[in-house]
Amino acid sequence: VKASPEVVMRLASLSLLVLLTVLIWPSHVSGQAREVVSYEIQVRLDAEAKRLDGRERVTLLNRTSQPVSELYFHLYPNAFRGPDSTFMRESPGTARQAAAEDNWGWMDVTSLRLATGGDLLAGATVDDTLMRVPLPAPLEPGRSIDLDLEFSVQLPRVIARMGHQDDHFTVAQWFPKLAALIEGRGWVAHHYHANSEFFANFGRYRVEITLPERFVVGASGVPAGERGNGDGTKTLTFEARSVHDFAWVANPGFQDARARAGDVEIRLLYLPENEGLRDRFLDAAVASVEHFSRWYGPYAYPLLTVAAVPFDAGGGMEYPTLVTVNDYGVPLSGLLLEEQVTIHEIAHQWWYGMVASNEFEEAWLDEGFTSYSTRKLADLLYGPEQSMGRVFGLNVDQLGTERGQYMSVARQDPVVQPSWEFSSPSSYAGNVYAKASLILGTLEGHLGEELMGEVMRTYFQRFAFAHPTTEDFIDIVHEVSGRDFSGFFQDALYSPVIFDYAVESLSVRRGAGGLSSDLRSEVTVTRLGVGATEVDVVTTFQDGHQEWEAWDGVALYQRYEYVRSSPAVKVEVDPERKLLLDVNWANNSHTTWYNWEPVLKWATNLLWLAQTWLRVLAFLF
Amino acid sequence: MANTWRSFWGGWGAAARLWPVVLLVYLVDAALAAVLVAPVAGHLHEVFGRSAMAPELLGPVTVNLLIEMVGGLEPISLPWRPYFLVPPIMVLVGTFLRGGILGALASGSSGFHWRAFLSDCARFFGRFVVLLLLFAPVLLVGFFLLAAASLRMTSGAPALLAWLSAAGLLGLMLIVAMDYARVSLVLTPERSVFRHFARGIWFVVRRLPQVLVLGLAFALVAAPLAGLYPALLQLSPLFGALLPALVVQQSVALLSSWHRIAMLGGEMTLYRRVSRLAPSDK
Repeated sequence: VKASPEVVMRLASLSLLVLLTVLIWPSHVSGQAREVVSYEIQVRLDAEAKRLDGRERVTLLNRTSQPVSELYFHLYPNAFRGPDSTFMRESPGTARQAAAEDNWGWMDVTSLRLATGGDLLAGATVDDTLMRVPLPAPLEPGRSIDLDLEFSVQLPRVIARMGHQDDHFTVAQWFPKLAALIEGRGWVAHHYHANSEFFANFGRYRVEITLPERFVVGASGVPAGERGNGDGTKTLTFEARSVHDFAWVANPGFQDARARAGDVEIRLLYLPENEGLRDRFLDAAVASVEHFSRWYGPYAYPLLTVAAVPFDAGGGMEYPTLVTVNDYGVPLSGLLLEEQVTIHEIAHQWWYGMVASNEFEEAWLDEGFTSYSTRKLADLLYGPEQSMGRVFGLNVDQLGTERGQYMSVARQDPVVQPSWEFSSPSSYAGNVYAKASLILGTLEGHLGEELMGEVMRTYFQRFAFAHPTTEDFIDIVHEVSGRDFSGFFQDALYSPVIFDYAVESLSVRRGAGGLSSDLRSEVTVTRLGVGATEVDVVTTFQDGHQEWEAWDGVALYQRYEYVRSSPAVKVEVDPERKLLLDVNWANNSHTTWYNWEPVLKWATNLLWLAQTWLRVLAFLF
Repeated sequence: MANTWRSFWGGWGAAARLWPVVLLVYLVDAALAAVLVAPVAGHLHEVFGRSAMAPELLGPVTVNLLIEMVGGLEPISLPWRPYFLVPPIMVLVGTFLRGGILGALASGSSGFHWRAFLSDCARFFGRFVVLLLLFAPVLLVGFFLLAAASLRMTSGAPALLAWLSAAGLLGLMLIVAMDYARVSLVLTPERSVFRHFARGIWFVVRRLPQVLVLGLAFALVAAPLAGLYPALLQLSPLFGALLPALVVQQSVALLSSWHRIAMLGGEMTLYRRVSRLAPSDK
């Protein structure tokens, strides 16, 4: 078919337009995202009414290969509009509390127009926290669209780490936000679920916040201006590039402290009552940025804001270039929870902020990677036995805490599934935080620390400012290690199965010759869990000699036989405890001698505890 | 205040004279504790007896170690009955023995006889149980109110600590009021338990400074006593060895029994001195 000159001209014009658009928008260079969206927002906070009024210009560039005929906006505050929202139905305790205190929040979009003038609000439909907006004409690949919105938000008292508490404001998920438009998927748009967090395209933000002058504000991005308005308010401007969300906090009492981690400036906002925690927050923040930059790749922004929010105004949460942390109070002062939350939220700058996985559907890629990174750094900084501190004579280690969480939910759900399909919040947390971290730890056991570091670095560097999936990570593991871990990942990520290897028996008998130099030691190890992976089996003999065997761990049991002059006295499966997912390490070994002293020591101390408790009981009554 | 100090020291002396009872209270405590510990010790024997992980039990206790202890535990396999039965048994036995202890303390220096002791145990047991039933709801309601209020506190950790301290002091006064009600019941011929209940509370309210000082004095002795064994474990590896550790901990347990009887003796002395009651008023 021969094209007419008119068609050729139109195609040429279209190609030129696409080319120009791509050139004008930031390219995928180091430290910058291929931005898909752009937001220019002006918002005013009414601190008395706890209300936001704003307008925004949204620009969407269709970087996919398919035309887009409708848009989806998240109206997240509507999760708190009433007890029937998806979020509230999935978290009845929270819903009851909110209802009892008449503590609802919501978002209303009052105007939605094309920048060229056409009204879109009339055709828009709202379903829970999602607004669907049909477009008058499909948005072709490479083309962009500008929209103007006006909206208002009633902030609830802090719920799900968003809202107000007295004169403090955590303003997160607060503006009409486009869902994620992903190549090959189209729109990835889900309700705000109780377990899930957020997912969006990278973009740029310019946000002007007008609020009473007394407030100190921390926000995503970097400050880009401040002016007084002469009416007791001021307007602060922030700009953020290559990010996928924008949040801010405001409190009149915030103090400002600064530190540097290489080229990155760290700004800590804290309240006077947390003066004693200031250096702990800052030290943890600096260590986090320095180590994670070295381990995975550089933090790509000039500023990181750490806001220590009040005791009763939510907890730690990650936003691009802004994290919230909090103090946990004197009763738990022996614990390093403040350091933990700081390290954890900052680790999210890598696993969420820059490597932006789909938190709705594969939350482990954010939370698991972050928990793993947190554990590694806390182990390094504070020692593996007390990585979370010490309280009431107990060394609190993150590994033990994660194993405890994992074991309590090990058979409930697979790790990889949409967050709202987990059977309970504890199963969600136990799987996507704890078990996922242990999976990565086990992988490190298999690969060694150095190679695992290379896996993580390669994954980060290849997928920074992108939206990788579980399969992308598995491919990286195979590529970097040159080994096939498909079976392990299948069991560990996609099935709710447990791993448990044990020693079944150790027996020694004299050989047929009846000579002392002819002792036959027989060892049987067994796989009690459904999950299978390779493990070492080590047999130690009385003369100190050791035999190491590499067992693929697939069969239900494996028998080894040794004929030596010295008898076997100890057998261990996975002696180096590489398999962090093993639900019972105590049964991984068997000795021919009996360990009286440790058992009796514990019995003695338990006797003391029981006596003390009974005396207290008798004293009380 | 002289009355208070005399009562404090007098209590220790009176308890020393009742050393067979101190020993009995200690033995009851140890025996019931052994009933509680035996199943857990059996479980530890099963899990760690032949595990190469056992030496870790001698090191610092980590969450990971606790996970291993509990992780291999099948809850159904533990004999749960003792855990439900022993606490109420301890309360009832303690209540029973307290009649004999207070009876012996009331007799002053006229000597200790097991027959009289057991007779007093039986004589006061019923009314002490009624007193317990009157005080227990107050204590339990107070505890739950305290817990609920603490959980709802939003004004930060220092305020929480202050609140807990005040509530703890109030709780101590309630417990002491129950002691004084029992003392009143043993020392005076009045049979109505309700009156002794009221007298116990009224005594504490009316003589608050003396009661408070005496209660705190005994509490000040109890605190280091409770911390002695764990502190020795931390300080010296000697106490990490099995036999010395056992000797020290059981000595501390014996001292604690003495302390409790001394406290009752001190309270009885104070009650007598303030109420001008002679030993013969019993």
